[in-house]
Amino acid sequence: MSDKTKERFAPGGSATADRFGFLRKTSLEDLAATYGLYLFAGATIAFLWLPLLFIVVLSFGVNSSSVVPFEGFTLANYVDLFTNASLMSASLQSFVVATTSAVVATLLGVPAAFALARYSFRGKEAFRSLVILPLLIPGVIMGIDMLIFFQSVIDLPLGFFTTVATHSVFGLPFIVLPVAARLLTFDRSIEESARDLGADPLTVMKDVTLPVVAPAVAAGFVFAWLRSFEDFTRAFFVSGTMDLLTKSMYSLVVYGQNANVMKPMATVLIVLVGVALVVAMNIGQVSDYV
Amino acid sequence: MSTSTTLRQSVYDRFFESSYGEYAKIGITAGPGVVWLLLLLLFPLVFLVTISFASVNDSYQIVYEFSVSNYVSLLHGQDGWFTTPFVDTFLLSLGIAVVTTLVTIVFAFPVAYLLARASGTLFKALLFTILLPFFTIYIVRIYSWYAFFGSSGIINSFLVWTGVVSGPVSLFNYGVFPIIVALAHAYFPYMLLTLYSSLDGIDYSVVEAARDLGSSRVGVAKDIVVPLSAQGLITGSIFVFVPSLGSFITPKFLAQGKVAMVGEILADRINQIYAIDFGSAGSIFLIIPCLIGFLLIFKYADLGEMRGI
Repeated sequence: MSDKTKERFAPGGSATADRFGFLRKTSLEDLAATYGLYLFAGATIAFLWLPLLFIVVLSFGVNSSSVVPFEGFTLANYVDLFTNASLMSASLQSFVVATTSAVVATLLGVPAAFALARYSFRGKEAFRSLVILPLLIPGVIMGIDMLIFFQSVIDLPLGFFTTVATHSVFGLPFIVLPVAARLLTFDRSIEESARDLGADPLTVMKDVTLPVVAPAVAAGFVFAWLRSFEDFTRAFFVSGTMDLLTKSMYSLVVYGQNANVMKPMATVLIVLVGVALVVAMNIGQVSDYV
Repeated sequence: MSTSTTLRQSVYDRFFESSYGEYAKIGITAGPGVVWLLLLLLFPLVFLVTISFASVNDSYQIVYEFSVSNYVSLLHGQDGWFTTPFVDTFLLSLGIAVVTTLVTIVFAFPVAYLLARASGTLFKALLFTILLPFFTIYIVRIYSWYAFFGSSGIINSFLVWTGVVSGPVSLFNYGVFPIIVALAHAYFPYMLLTLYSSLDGIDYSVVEAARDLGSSRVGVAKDIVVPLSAQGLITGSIFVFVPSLGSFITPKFLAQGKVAMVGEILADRINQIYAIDFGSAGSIFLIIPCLIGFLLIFKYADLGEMRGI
């Protein structure tokens, strides 16, 4: 076979492409694959934004339950939201529950992360898997088993404490996983140097270790907080008669009432989260925790 | 050194550096977490499984005698075994969960790959763009899907308005299709982030070597990238499949009663009539896949991979 023929049938290249030096190693198939990839991924991301756009754009809409016909921009929905006393108090309640459960999860989870990252003990693998379990259990199962546990086993009235307890379990993996990951990549020789320079273990923890894991703890705290704030299924079962934002929204939709106030609330939250994300990504190293 | 530091040091040394000090450290750090999880996570779950093998008398008291009556009534219908509505609902839920998982794999893989190859500002921008939609409150997100689908929802209204179709497209009506779309959207980040963790750990000089040896991009994807990310695929699939199987409000909003999923009927039974017998026995069908997934993760995944969820 001539060289030209060999080239023509060489895999991954073509005689035509080889003529253009800058396209060496790139056949038409390759170009299609690369740009096809970009196109496909881009379309996927655009699709991901559909609900978000719907929520944000229509929160400013006059007839905000459908896009067509679009009647105009207004802030009326926002006014409706902030003057709706029951929704505002439910939001406050959700805020308190989320903060408390995130704090409990942090107090339990940070030491647990240290244990997982630094010590070895019998049952460590089991403990690690137990920590991941709340991520996996469907909300219905967790809700049902907690409901039965609180009502039929220990006869605890459903309300604040039961919701916080459930959400703290739900949020625990969000604390443990980033903190443990951070500890695993942490160069412990700084701690050793601190000890060498005369610091006692408490000071080492306070001045060296904790500042290093602080961003991971903060990121975990925020994720646990958000998961609690926007959780519906578990709270639906274990919160009894306590007002929560997600439950109020649920009844708005199910009982066919004016659900237009939900969009401003979601938009406000998104803006806050978006700003926090941008700040965190640039100041801290939150993107490392992905 | 000041006296207080020396005192702290000596107390610490006496206690923690002694032979039982290691156990004390583990006890103090992992202890509270273990107790909390055992009490609030494991015990209620075990209790639920236990009472599924008990029965309930007329005043909603649990009768603690071994009985499989709950399961029989769930599974044995008029025409014999496995002919109850519950079985049909469960099989439908399985199907929906499988399709949802496959959909997320197909759509998340390219995005995860690009994310893994990006760096610096592009990476941050891409990550932000991908993750922001998932910080919307879930109920409001479902409500937006509810508005999109349906015979008079946004999609159908738009299609009819532009004249592309003469009437609403039945695919977009409430039912299985919107459920799959909403679930795939909801659990997309779980698949994306586990795949990303996995793809991030691949040494891309292997890919370069393959390219040098003449492989096409498709060949590289098929023979190198996918096999090396297999662990991430498995983990991600579990994290999409199990929650999708047990989804509750998604079918409630988006099926409008036409079809039902397991989580939904369990929730309704418990909430409306506190049917512990039905609820506990039915829950087993969700718990078993959860446990299987749990065991798979226990065996195959490692801590470093789970960072992103």
